[in-house]
Amino acid sequence: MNETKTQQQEATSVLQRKGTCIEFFSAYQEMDLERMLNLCTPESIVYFEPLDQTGTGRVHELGKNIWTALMECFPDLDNTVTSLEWIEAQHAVKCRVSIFGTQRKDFAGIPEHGLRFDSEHIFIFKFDDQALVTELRVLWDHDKFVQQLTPADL
Amino acid sequence: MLSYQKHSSPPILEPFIVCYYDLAYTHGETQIIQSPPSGYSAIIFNLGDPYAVRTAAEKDFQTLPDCILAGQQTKNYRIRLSGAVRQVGIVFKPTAIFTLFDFSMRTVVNKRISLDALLGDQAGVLYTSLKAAMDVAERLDILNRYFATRVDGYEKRVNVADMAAELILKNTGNITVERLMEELCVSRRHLERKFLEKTGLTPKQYCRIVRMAPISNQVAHASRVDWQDMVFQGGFHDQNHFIKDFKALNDLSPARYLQEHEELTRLLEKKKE
Repeated sequence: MNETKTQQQEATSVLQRKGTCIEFFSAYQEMDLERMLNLCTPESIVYFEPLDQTGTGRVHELGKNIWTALMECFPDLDNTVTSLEWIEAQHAVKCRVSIFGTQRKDFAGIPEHGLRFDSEHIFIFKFDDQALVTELRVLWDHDKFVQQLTPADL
Repeated sequence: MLSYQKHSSPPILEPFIVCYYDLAYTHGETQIIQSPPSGYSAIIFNLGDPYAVRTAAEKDFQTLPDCILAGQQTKNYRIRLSGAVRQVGIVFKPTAIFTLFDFSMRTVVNKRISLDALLGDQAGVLYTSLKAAMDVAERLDILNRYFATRVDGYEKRVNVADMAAELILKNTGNITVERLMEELCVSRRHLERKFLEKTGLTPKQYCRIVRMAPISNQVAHASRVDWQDMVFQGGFHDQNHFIKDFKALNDLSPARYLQEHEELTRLLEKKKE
C-alpha cells in the first residue's frame, strides 16, 4: 500500500516536472521572459553548452540576457517541443525542441542578413521539490546555427 | 594464486565509479597477463611487491610507482606479476576523472602516470591509510570517503562528452559519430573537442574500443569460439573488418589471442589442482 502511494507520488512529481518544462516552452513561445524566469529558482544555473565558459551562469542573469537578445534579434522566434523524457538516473527531464526564427538584428557577433534558422535543441532540466528549475543545460549545433544565418556566398 | 574481486561503489559515486577491485597474487612465480583495452580509466594503489607493465609501444617492462593513474588504453598491454602483489583499483567511467578532478586525460592515453600529478599530496596520504587498513571493507571505506569529497560542484564540469560516452557504452560501441551528433544536437567539432579533453580519445576511437572490449574478454575466457557469432555480435560488416579491428587493438590475430589465453587458463587451472 505504502509502496503504491510512493510510486504514485513519484509519478505525480515527474508529471509536475514535465509540466514545468511545457510551461517554460509555452512562455518562450509567447516571448514571456518573466514567466520563463519565474519557473526557475533565483540561484538556478544555466549551461549553454556550445558557448563553453562564457555560456555558464545564473538563469536570472546570463539566461535572461541571452533570451532577451534572441527575442529582440529574432522577432518571430518560435519553438516546437518534439519529445519530453524523464531520466531517472539524473532526476532530470530531457526535452528535444526545434527552435526557429528570422534574424532581424545582429546577434552575438553574427551580422543580420535576414536569414532564418531552424535548429534542434536539447534542454535538460533539473528541479527542486517544488518542481522549480534549479539547473538547465542547453545543447545545439552552433556551427550549423551560424551557417544558417550566413549567406552561402560569404 | 591469483584472485580478483570486484566491489560496487555507494550510490553517490555510481555516476563516476564503475567498481573497485582487489587483486592479490601470492604465488611468487612470475606471471604475465595480457589485458585488452577496457574503455575505462583507473587509479591503482599497489600495496604489495612491485609489478611491471609493457604496452605495445614499449620494448621492455616498466616497473610502476605504487600509486598510479592509468589513462585509456588503445592497445593490448601486458602485466608482469611476481612475488606478493596486492592491488586496490578504482575503475572510473570514461569521463569521470575530468568531471571529478578537472584533469584532462589527453596526455594520459596509453600511459600510467604517478598519482601525485592528479591528487598531489593526497595520493601519499591515501596510500598510507590503505596500507594501514585492516581489511578490504576498511579500504573501501577510505576510498568512498575520499571520492565523496570530490563530488561537490561536479555539475560545472559535466558536458556533452559525458552524454556521448554514456550513449557509446549503452550501444556497446555500435553507434556512429553522425548518430551521436544527431542524438545530442551538437556539431562534430564541439563533440570531438570535448570528448578528447575528457577521455583523451575521439568518439570514433572510443567506439572501437568499447565494441571490441567484451569480445576480447569473451575470447580470453573461452576454450572454443564461434567467430561468426563474434562478427555478428560486434556489429561488423564481415570477418575481415573484425580481424583488422581485433589486431589493431590486441596486436594478435583472434586465433593467436585465443591460443595464448588458453595456455594461461591451463596454467592457472594446473596450479589450482
